[in-house]
Amino acid sequence: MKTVLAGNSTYLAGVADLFEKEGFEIKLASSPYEARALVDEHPVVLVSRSEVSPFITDSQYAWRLIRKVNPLETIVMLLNKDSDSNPYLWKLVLERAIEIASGKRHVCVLCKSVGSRMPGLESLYHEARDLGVSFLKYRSVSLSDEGYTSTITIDDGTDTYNITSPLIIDCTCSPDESVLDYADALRLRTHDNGKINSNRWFLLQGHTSRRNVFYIDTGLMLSLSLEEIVNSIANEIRSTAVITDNTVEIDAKKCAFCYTCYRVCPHGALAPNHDAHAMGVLKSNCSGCGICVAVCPANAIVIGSASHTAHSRSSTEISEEVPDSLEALQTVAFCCENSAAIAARTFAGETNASIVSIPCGGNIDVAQVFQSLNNYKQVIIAVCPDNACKHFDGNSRARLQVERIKKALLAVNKDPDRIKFVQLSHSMPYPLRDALN
Amino acid sequence: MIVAEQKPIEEIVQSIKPYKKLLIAACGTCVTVCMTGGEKEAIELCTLLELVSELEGIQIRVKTIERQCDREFFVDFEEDIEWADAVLSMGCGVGVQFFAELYPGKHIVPALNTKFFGVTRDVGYWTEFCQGCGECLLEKTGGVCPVARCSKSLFNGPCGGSSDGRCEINPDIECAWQIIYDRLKAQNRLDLLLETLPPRDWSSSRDGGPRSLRKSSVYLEVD
Repeated sequence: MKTVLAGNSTYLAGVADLFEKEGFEIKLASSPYEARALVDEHPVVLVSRSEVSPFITDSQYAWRLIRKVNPLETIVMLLNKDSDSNPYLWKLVLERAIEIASGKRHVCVLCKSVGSRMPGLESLYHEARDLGVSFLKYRSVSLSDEGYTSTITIDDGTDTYNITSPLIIDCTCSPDESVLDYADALRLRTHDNGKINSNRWFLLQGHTSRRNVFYIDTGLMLSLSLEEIVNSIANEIRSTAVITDNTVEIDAKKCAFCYTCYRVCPHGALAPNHDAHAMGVLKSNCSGCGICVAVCPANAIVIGSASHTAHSRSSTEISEEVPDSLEALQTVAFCCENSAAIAARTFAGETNASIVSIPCGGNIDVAQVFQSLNNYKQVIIAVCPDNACKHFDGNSRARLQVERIKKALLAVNKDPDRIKFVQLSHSMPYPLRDALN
Repeated sequence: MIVAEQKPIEEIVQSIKPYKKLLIAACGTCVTVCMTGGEKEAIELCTLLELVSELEGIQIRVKTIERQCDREFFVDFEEDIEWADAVLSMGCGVGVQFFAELYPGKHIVPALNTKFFGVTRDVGYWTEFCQGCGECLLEKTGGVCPVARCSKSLFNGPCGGSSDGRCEINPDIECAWQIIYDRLKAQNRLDLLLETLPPRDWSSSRDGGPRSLRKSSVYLEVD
């Protein structure tokens, strides 16, 4: 199986050897352009090396420093001095802070923002808080040395504070800049409106926002060895090589070649086909979220016939189920299959509402909602909680559409409360059940 | 690209209220790209209108005419146009007028307000770049049009209202002359700004009345 390696050339050879041991045929991409040309055909592994303080990567080093400090003193960990840190680094910092706090030392983490876009970060944060780690948010910071101790002055926008400590560790990660051009060329994305920005959180150890692009940061190796990471990526490449049917198709005759789908796709799964003068789909990248289906202004995109999605299924479901009297079916709930649809199964027998599973909140079809309002008393759109969308911003898109629908209903003298927007995870059925009742 | 936005739904409802058979005609070109008058929007509008109680009993068909500014694209839709009491055109101002000219007996209702010629900045965000004034001077201004992008259409700017690169009319507007200056500076061509641009003859623009253009190499005049 052929795989492309790209990124920081100093570290490529070592990673290439490991992939060859896994039985892969390796091609090295020497430039971002070459990587972009190859990514449609082959998986790409991006290799980089971030510079990060050994205090958070090497436990023994950290404790050597900590032991020199009077146990009553505060240990200060300074984070994201210039820009947002990626959540992987946050995880490392939180784990280290928990470790130090468990050793009966007082830790203070200074940061610009506390993000929790990565699964598990929230609980680590609470664990750290429970152990007495203090978190201080700041806007600007300055350091001054006075022999044994240093003083750090932070400004949180309203007040300035001084913290004195003999051990102030700058945990800010200096990312490997060489990899940014590759990330750009490979169209790796962030939450941030689909654009690549400096916080680079789209690069997590092992993963990126694209299904067939993987990432290894040799500077952030911890409990896992490089061999183990390569092995896990190799396994993933082998498993994703099987293309699912659940992908979108574009009708080239209808496509206006407007690039809207290309811009919104969270998985980089659309690529222009200049010969056909239309957009094309990279089946290996498409996750079948249907966000492009919802935004396509020319109605040129459908989700593949083998899928079980709203646009193919619910329309038939609704037409079959339209009752003679409205009392029988009062409510239809369009539920994201990653959260609400799973939650709804727990009370399937208790409700007579029609539950329609959609692949993502971002797939909401406004015309279908209007149609449903003709047949049902109430329409519920149930999607994942904030920052928890598997497809990055599907839930935010759903919210915008619901606002738009409410406005339109108000303008035509209809009750906007007939449409409800609910956010829930797969394990919390109550918000949906309450909305249904 | 021509950028437009949909009219308030109340206004659309008022203008189509007298009719029982309505054809919603989407346009497949500019207004599709600016997500206002394409097939998706047309279907959404249709489903919304079906909810309106004032329009009870109305029959609606939705068709997409690839380009409402070229007569040949209408041919396939003659039957639908014939069927309808009125047509709600989702084309730009050009499309609506051409529709009305081709079918003078038909009431053609506009569904959009046509805004400007612009570019796509981001998904769902467009800005004005050109006013079609008929005499392009972009080679002198670093590729930034002072006619369209300066609020006062100044030829020798900026005015005193430019502050921190923003326009005094609205701080959301970038000062075109600041952009011109920055760009020419980056290109080492600031000397271009030493030339005073003379007042121009606006007859090539709207001041000369409605314009027409005949390309002599292909236009055969028939007596």
